[in-house]
Amino acid sequence: MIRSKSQDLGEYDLIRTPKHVARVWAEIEKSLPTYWSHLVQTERQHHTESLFAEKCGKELPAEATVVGPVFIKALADYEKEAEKYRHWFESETLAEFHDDPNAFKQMLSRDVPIIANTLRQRRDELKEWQMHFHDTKSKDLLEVFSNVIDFVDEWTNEHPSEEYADLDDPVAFGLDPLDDDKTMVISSVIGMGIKSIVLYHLDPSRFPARGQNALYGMYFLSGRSDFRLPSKTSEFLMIDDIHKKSGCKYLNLNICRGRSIVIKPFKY
Amino acid sequence: MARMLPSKPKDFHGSTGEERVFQALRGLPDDVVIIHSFRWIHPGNAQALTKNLKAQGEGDFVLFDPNRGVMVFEVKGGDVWCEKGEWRQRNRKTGEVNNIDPEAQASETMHRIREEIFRRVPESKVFLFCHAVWFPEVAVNRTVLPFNYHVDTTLDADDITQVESAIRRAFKYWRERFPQRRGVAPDVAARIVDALAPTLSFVRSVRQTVDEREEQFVRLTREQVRIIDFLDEQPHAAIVGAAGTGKTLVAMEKARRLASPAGPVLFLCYNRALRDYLNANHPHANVRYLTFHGLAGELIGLDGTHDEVASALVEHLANDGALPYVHLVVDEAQDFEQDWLECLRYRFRDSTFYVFYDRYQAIQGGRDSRWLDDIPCRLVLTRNCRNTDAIALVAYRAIGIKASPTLGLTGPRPVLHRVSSSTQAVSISEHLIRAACERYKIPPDEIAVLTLGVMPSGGPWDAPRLGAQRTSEVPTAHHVTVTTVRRFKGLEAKLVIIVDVDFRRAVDEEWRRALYVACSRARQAVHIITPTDETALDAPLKALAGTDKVRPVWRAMQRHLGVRLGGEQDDPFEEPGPR
Repeated sequence: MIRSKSQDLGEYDLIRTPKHVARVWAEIEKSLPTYWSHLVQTERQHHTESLFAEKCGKELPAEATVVGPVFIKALADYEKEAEKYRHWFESETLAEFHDDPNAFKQMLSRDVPIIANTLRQRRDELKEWQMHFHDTKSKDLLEVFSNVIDFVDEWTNEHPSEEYADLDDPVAFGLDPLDDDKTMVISSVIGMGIKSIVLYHLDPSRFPARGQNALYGMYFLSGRSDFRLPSKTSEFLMIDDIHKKSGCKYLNLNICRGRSIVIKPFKY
Repeated sequence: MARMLPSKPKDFHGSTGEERVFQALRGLPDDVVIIHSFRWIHPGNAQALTKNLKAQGEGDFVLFDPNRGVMVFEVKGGDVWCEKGEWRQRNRKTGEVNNIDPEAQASETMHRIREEIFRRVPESKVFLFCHAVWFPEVAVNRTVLPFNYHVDTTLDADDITQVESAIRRAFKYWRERFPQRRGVAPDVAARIVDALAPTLSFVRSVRQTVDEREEQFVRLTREQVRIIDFLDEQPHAAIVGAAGTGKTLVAMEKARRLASPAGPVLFLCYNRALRDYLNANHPHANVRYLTFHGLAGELIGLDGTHDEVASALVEHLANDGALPYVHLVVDEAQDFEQDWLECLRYRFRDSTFYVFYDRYQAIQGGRDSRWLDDIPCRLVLTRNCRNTDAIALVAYRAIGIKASPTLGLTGPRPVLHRVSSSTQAVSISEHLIRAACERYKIPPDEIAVLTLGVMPSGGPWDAPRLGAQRTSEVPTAHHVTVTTVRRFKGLEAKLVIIVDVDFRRAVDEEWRRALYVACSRARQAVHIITPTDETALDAPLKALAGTDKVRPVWRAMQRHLGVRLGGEQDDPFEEPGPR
């Protein structure tokens, strides 16, 4: 979830209330079957056996047969990517960079997909982030990532997997320090976006990615609803300001790879 | 398919017969285990076995069937015949004919195995142990076999193709002779197989590792030898090196080489403990080990305060007063006053003047060692050869310098013990000392308990004994040294326990240098005991880490120093294995 920039509206607190969480969850539960059947339908259009069965008027193959390959491919793609994260974001590996933090920064720029890809982009909206990244001290980057990995190690020990499903309150998760502790953040460089991608690739069962696709997913799954938040925006997409000419609102997405994209305005 | 051990034998001793039998036995059921080339030696006592048992022997095949028993096979390939009751075999390669007795060989191996299995697995006494012979490349005339051979236990080439029935036949013969014998339960069967083909690993004992590391330390590195040789051409030189690079060793060797009745050497060191150690362990007729104040006492007498004596000696040297030495070697020069060294350099201007120093070890406040860098000939010792890599890493990190190369000796990571009281600190120290002396047989004088500050009399460390060992403030034989890091400079020990490490003082560079010196005194293991509370780690960690992004927790301290967090019952020389 993304914090609205409109801190004065108190939305950050609002979206953490059990009542609000329950409403969002109810909406997701309601819309999930719709999206699921849409996914199945879309996949059937590319599934040879389904097309053949339809033509012959036979029974269509089971959903699992149709959708299975999509999941298998997604898992394979994930594994390929996750291998890189697992290799570099491991306590002992990080410790090896202690005497040469510059090598760590080089490694981040070259071998960590989320950072390497963002640095490679030639988009104007990323220039500021790229500049900040280049200006950041190698030692600070190493320390912040070491702190995050240390914290997550400690947190994992204190929160066994079997208890994870029982957590139903934002405070009970105990993950606030990842967002708030200044030793785990480098302003304008390493925020929750990058950290969540790293952690997702280390432990996907407990750390969801808070990247572009995931946030869009939540936006649509929650029915694009504002759930009566004062700003009348979705908590999954931040509305920064109003388009001056049209009076429309921009959707300013704090998304994966540190990008901040302004999508075309639409009437709210 | 039977389990074959080994699954692929390297060779069959050149015997195609053995190879044929091996391949044939492979076809037996899954629960059968076949061991090829089972070697044994005499157990060393003659009570359980016949005195005629050979010193060593081998069974070609040992077959273990949990339902039937153990059968030992002696295989004889090639041309085999029996002549007037004597068995002979012709070696096909050499043509040589040898007398053989395969039945006796198989029987001997069977008895050796049986006694050993009975001893190791007492429940196996109901199990059948028997033997057979196999001539896989000939057809045996079974009608005229010697008395110690039976048609059912003598297998030949025909049995290769019907191995299962041949084995069943041989077992049946023995089962009829010993009807009370039967199969064994699966757990007993597993233990018998374990005894026949045990799984064990040999791990080097930590004590052995500790001793081997010591051997490595005493060898001069090439770098040290090169510097000693190079100094032959350099009468004045400053030799720089971090702790543990062997400065004192090189200094001593150089002094020894220079010394002669006509050219006595003055070897100056800063502290008395090092002087006493050198006098006791490296005495030389023409090398005089002295402290600066010792030299003052020798030359002008020791009247007056410390400073008065020092300034009197400087004056004496500057005025060309008597000095009965031709060569000068100064160790730990960073702790000497600049005036003293300049005077000495002046006095030894026409002879030899070597200073050995490490600016990071300057823990005597107010010393300015920058002038040492201006000496024209400066040599650098880079290779750490006192500490293990893990210790060197912690020492260097304490003062924020990059670790220099070491001899590549692995050793346990230094341990950080967090305590809540001095009683707990003493208890941990006593445990470590006791374990080192009892488990590793480390002499007490190879253990040092050091404090970075002062060692107040009447304090918890001012005890006549620690961990059942006598203590002494100065290094003494058979005593654990309990002293300050300043007094222990230039010395070393296998195990160093640094007590009262108050990390709140880590913001002070001089304190960090003291920690560096203390850690670098240890050759094999360092244990750091700290009473500091985690809540006070913020500023110290920032100072150590050089960034304000550091989390003020012990885990971060562990990472930045390269230590591991220890418990009260830690082993002094070994890291706990993975849990």
